[in-house]
Amino acid sequence: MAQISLSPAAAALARGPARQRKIRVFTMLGIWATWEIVAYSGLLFEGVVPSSLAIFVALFSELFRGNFYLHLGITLGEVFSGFIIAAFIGIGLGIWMGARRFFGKAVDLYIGSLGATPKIIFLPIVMIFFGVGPESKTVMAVIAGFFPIAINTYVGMLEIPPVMIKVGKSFNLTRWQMVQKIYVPSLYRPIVVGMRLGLGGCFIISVLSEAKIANHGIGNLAIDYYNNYQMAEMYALLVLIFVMAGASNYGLSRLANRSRA
Amino acid sequence: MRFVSAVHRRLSRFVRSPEVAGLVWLVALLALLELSVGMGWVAKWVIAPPSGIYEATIDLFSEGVLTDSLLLTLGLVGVTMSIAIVVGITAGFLLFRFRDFGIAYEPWLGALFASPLPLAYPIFLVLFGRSYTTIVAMALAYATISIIINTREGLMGISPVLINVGRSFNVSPRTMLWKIMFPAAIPTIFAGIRLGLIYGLLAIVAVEFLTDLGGLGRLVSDLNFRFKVPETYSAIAIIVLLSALFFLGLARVERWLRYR
Repeated sequence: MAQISLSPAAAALARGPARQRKIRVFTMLGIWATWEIVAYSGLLFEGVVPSSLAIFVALFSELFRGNFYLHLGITLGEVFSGFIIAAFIGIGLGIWMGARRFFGKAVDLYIGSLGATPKIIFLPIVMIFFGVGPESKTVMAVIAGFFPIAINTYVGMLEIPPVMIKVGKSFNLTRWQMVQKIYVPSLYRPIVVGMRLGLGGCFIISVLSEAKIANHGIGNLAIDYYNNYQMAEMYALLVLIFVMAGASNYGLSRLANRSRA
Repeated sequence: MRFVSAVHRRLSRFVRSPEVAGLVWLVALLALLELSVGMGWVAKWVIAPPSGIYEATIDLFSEGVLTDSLLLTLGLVGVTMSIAIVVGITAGFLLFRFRDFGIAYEPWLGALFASPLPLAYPIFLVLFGRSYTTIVAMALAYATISIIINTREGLMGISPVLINVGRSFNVSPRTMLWKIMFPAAIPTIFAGIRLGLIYGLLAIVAVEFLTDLGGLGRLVSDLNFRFKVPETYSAIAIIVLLSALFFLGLARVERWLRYR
């Protein structure tokens, strides 16, 4: 029987994934253990770091409170309606900017700069127009989601090979056919990437706006818990928000990867 | 004569350039806002006219409020970024050096960077109280990640030719690191720092605004609470200008580093 012998380098490579998995598992355990030790040690002021068990219990009692779903529904409604509107406006403007190069060059400086500003500071202006209810948070989500989607679509438009556009033009396609047959298919990836960033922005801005001024929503609920010093409940809500944002982010990145095939 | 016509041609090309058109549209938009408030189509307490915003900005500056807030926010950005750069580059280098750790943590860092991290601000508030430490800690968490990711990527992406040249000159590992590897990775690292700065500023202003603490973000919240409409618009405009300045200035530096 021939002994399969690996060179040291190849052996190290083969050992790699197993080692990496071990590192991940031990890091997780380490973080969790540190958390629990801090929670039970009384090192920090009581309740600042609740034990993971307490957070878990709080999460479950939240899930069985009817009122909770009203808040959740309002927040998700704001996030997703804002996101859908932002996607339509962002994709539309991005395509327009890319198709009309002059227009694109004239405004991309302003779109780019506004995209880099902390959108939350527009809340006072938006509230003057739309009040303190869910409408203003939806508009905030539109603002936050719009920029990454528009910018990614625009950059995607600039990267379409000119040949494709020439082919479309030589077939005498109408403007709508150009959008349908040429632009959108070659923009699939940049648009999905932009939407991923945009959706993250929608989550952040809606929940933060609720935390600042609102009567409903998960952000408002979390800040109420903070003010009443119900730490386990507050952590539970934050965990929930992160899981929801992570899940939608994961879904969109699956969509983005599919286009590679 | 030829000179004059050349100047004329350049001038007319400049006037017809998209950049000038953008500027003209912006001025037209501001004029329209001014007009609609002046004609009474929109109430003054809904949209502050540009002239009102200008006056409010002058007032805020002469009272010293704006300068103080601006300096405070810039100071917080400075502290955050100094720590973020040192920690981020060190961590990025360690993740490059210990390959398995790098591969193990890379997806986590990516996920964390994509996560709505600013939503965790109540946790920082609980841990550090209503203090500047909270603001810096929150911004640090956000700003460091992109620097770590880019430092590791930059070091991994160095062309092997450079390394081989270093080897053939028999340089010490220390020289290799400082004279060859870091210089080669600088454009990518700087891209990470730029992203970190934009996210850091975002986190700082957001936490200031949400907790009524610190510089420009607190100023917006405060003025809004007192129904000072033109002043609120003015503070918002200053924040927009500041982040635009960061965004454009750093993009320029990055381009220079890349094509040096």
